[in-house]
Amino acid sequence: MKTRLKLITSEALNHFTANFEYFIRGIATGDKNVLSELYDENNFSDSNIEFEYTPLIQNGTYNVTDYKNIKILYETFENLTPVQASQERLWVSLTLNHYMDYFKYRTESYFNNLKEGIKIEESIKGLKAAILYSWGQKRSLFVCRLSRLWWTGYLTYDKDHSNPYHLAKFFSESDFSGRAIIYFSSNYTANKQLSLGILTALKDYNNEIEKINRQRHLVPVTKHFNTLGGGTLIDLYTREDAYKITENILLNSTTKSI
Amino acid sequence: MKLKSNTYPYPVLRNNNDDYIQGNIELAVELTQVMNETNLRVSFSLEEAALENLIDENKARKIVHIECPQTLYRKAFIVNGTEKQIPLKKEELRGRVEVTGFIIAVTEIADFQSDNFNDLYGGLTFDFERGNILAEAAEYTIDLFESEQSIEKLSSIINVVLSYENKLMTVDSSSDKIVIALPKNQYEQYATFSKTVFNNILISVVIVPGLVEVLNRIKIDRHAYEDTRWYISLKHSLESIGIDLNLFDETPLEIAQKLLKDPIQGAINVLKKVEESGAD
Repeated sequence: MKTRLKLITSEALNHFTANFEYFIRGIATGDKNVLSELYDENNFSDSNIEFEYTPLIQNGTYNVTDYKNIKILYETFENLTPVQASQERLWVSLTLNHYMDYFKYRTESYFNNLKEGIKIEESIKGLKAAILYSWGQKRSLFVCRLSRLWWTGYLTYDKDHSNPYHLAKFFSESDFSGRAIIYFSSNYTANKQLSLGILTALKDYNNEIEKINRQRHLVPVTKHFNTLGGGTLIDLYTREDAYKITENILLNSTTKSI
Repeated sequence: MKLKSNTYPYPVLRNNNDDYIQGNIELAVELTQVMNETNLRVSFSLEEAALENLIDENKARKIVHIECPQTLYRKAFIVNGTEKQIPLKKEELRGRVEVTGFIIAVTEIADFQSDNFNDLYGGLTFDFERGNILAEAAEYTIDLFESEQSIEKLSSIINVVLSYENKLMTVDSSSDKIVIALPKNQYEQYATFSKTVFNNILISVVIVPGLVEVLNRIKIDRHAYEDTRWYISLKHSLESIGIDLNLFDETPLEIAQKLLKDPIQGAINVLKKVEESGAD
């Protein structure tokens, strides 16, 4: 059965943002007064987005579930346009109305801290960044727990492969949070062909030579393409070009480390 | 597409640069709307013999690069001749869209030389790899919105809200609106007085400092906010009164007062009227 998404109003979103600590503590403790204030029907209005709700996986290690959840969320919202998927209101509404259990699962340590009364400030800040755009428009897409699943699915989907999600699987099987922020912060990753070439090379290196490490492999590759982009329109490179360049950087890093 | 202007280790034809003593590259951009379709019409002109030769020999091409940071859209289009119509999908673009024109090497080029090189490069030749930028036109920035409303009014990008926790006023500029949060007792008074003649006073004590705070943040790190909806609207509002947000010719306090149409005078006028009516 299709569900129509109810979008949080701008006013309610502003109120939620301005009083984040109050609301998140209410969510954490299940405070009925806070929850009824947050979920007041006047805070939401019907959108034109309909979807077949499938719950995200909330058991197991993130290294396994992140990949599965990327697939589930991207397939649930495969008709979402980039314009819709770029909007904070959409992800806040989905998190509050449909995926709160997933949000709690993926931010479990912060919620546990709140319960135990430790690292309060840090945890509130972490929770805020996990649901609201706190790091600028673009970076927030890859920091917010729900939006980053969809955007990783969108940017890594390889339609010509027998498993179109093979790059999402590789990318999310270790250190997904760190990798997503480092890799997708660079503007060139928005060029699909370029990005698919880079990720395929990283995946092959990971499978054939050694496990990809954020600091030792991902950062140098990202730096290299950013430097290259200073004097070259790298958008003209094909997927194969990007693959070869990345492969060379990775192989050089191996030689150096030997 | 933001490029650092000093990163080229070879001469590049571009405006406000003397790598070439003669020559010109220009890109004109026009947004056209027919029914539901938005098109970008680009006109590309190049005047530099050596670069034109490279294009004639299919060693270089004219490229228009379009990038929308908000929706992670990034595409390059080849322009054959001088004009091209590029369809823009409203589902793919939102907010700030950057359009840049380039002349790009599409093959390896050996021993390139131009009579128009600055004397600094006298007698030197250059080799290029595929993808190297040979000329760069000034970047255009277009603001697109998903709704038919073009630019939002200033009042709709600044929200004053109630904060349960704040002891003092705070300003949040991280999302699509500027959110000024007031402590409970202040907000209640604000909500009451905002519907009366005292609104002008509230603008001076709440909106002016909020706007000054935001302008200071822009002055320190413009890039952090350029993609937000409020920044684009603020930029347009300021342009309509002749203020360029890139220049900061005036202080944030002066800019805020001009934008809000001298609210301090407005506030003093209200106080004067209150005093006069009290004296009666």
